[in-house]
Amino acid sequence: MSFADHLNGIDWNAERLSLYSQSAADVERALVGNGEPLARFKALLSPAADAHLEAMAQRSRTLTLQRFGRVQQLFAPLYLSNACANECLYCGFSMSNPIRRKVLKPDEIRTEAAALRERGFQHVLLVAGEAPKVAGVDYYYQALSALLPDFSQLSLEVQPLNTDDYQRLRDAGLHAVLVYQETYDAACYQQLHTRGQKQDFAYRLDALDRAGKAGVHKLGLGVLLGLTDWRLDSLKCAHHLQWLSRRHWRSRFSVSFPRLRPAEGGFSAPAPVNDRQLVQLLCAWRLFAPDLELTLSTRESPALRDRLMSLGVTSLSAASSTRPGGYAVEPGGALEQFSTDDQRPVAEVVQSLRNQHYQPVWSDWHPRLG
Amino acid sequence: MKPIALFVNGEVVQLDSGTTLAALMNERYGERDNMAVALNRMVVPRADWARTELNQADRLDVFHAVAGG
Amino acid sequence: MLTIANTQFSSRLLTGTGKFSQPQTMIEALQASGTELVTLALRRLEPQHSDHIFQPLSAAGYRLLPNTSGARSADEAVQAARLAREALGTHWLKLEIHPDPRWLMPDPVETLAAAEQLVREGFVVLPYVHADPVLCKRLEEVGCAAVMPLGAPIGSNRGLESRAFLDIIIEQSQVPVIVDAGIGRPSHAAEAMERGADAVLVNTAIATAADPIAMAAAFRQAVEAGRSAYLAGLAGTAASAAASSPLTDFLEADHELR
Repeated sequence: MSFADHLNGIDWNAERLSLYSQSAADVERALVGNGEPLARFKALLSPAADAHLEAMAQRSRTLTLQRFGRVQQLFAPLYLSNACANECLYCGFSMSNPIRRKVLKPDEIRTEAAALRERGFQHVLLVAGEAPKVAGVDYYYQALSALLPDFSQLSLEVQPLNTDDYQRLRDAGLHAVLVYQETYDAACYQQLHTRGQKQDFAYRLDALDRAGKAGVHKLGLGVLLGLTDWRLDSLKCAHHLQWLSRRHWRSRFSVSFPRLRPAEGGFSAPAPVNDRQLVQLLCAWRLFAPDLELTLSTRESPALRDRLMSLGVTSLSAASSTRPGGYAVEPGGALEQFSTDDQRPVAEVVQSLRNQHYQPVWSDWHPRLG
Repeated sequence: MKPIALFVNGEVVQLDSGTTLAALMNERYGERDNMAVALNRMVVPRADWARTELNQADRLDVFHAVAGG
Repeated sequence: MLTIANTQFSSRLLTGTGKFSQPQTMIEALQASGTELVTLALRRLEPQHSDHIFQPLSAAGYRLLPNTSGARSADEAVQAARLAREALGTHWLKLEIHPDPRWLMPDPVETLAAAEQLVREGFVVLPYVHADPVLCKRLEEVGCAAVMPLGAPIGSNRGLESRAFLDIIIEQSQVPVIVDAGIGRPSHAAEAMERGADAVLVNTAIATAADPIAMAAAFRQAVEAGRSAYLAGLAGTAASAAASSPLTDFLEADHELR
């Protein structure tokens, strides 16, 4: 049985009604850790939980400190390519957007990598648009092989691949695979993805199961917040996480909760998520899964990031560029996927961590040592 | 004098009729403070002892403080 | 300062006077404990009885807290209370009713009925009860000056086996919470104080120690340490929200945030 079958086997209308009729008592029970995990998560995501936000934050912070200690993992995205054969209404890389396309060549990848090393990063997330003809598994394999000697952790956030491809990249030293479903609402997904291979909702939905079968150490999932009802979408994402973690029990998991940012194309979020709701979601994830890695990108403002890092986040990107070549090859070019908000230099982010008594961790894994 | 019989802490005690509570307490316990007496289950304040005459078949309970938790 | 019925105490350690090997040891142990409020029992007086406990305690300036031990019903407890008031000249009372001679478990139904009656008669009532949060609220409502929930069966020295319920009682109570029964070690007393109890009552653990005087001093230190720790704010507790919202009140201020 695939996760798509699992998802289709649930009466989501009933779940939606249940989500919006959770009581304060349901939330209080969930807060003390009583009940089935998904039922607890539902209560914590519900409108009723808003009144318990401080208690959720306290619990989330305590659980995070207990499990992870006073550390934050730091990583940087390395955009390999903005070429894309998809049309996604919310994304600056959409093929119809009149921006210059760039696919980094091997020497350019090395230049970018050197700039990241110089800033201290040892964990790099390789990102690319979906254009398999110019950036397929061979291209990723080469990029990975070129970067591995210089970095201890390499993660990949690109188009969904098949099991053999994931296996090949894992054997080459790939640490993590991130495939955000964007939304688990198939109808909404179809409306937003109007052209290209990304239109295949089911193939994307099964990607992390394939990566898990290939033995990838860490699997990352998430919802792009702002596309549709974040509560229901996140509940589906939690079903996905539980389903995956029961199947791929040797793997670790990370969840991200990116909010839609302004991007080329001028798409505005149909269902925006405010700061308070973002805090609720973050804390709900932590209470649902105390060992889950929770990742926060530079999409959010410095002020908010500084707050969220003590509420349950365990992994942060810093000083990110969301365009290929943005660190050293051609800094200042206008090719970005979306505009970041926290543009502080790495040293400032590190200082902010230290001010809150967190230790920055640049790497917690090594491809050959584990 | 006609004798009367009554209970003091469950024990039968014989007295002359007309004996007061004060007289009984002095005879039985001497000069001692910090006692409490219930006559037929009603507490009698010490100030009333001298004018309280005892009767046939009365029930007297006499208490004092002891060590305890 | 601990305040019970408008009376202030600088010591948060209440002690019992039972089970000591000799009166002199008891007096010295009470002194070492720093206590200001000590419990006594009431018994029938035999003519030949010569144990005078009241005088030395009274002379030393302790406030006396007679108990109703031996009472098995509300009626018996009310009667004992009236006798205690007469014998000791105090309207303070530790109300305890245990119909069961084996475990000496407090009877909640009789205790509530007696408390209501005794408050009407002007007593300052401190009821000994199971660690039952609802019962404690009911006793508070009828006018008890404090509540005295048990940590474990009386005399068992097993510590705070009722801690989950003590926490709720402490959180909810508007009158002082004095943890009674089961406290067998100074660390138990310290824990009760760390959890926010207003005071503890200790008897057996001091009276039956090899050196009761030294143990009384140890309990004094433990109660003081536990209270200080509670006031200092222990890390990593409380799943429920505080009145202020240190982690989320930034959401109310709109500086730089959406």
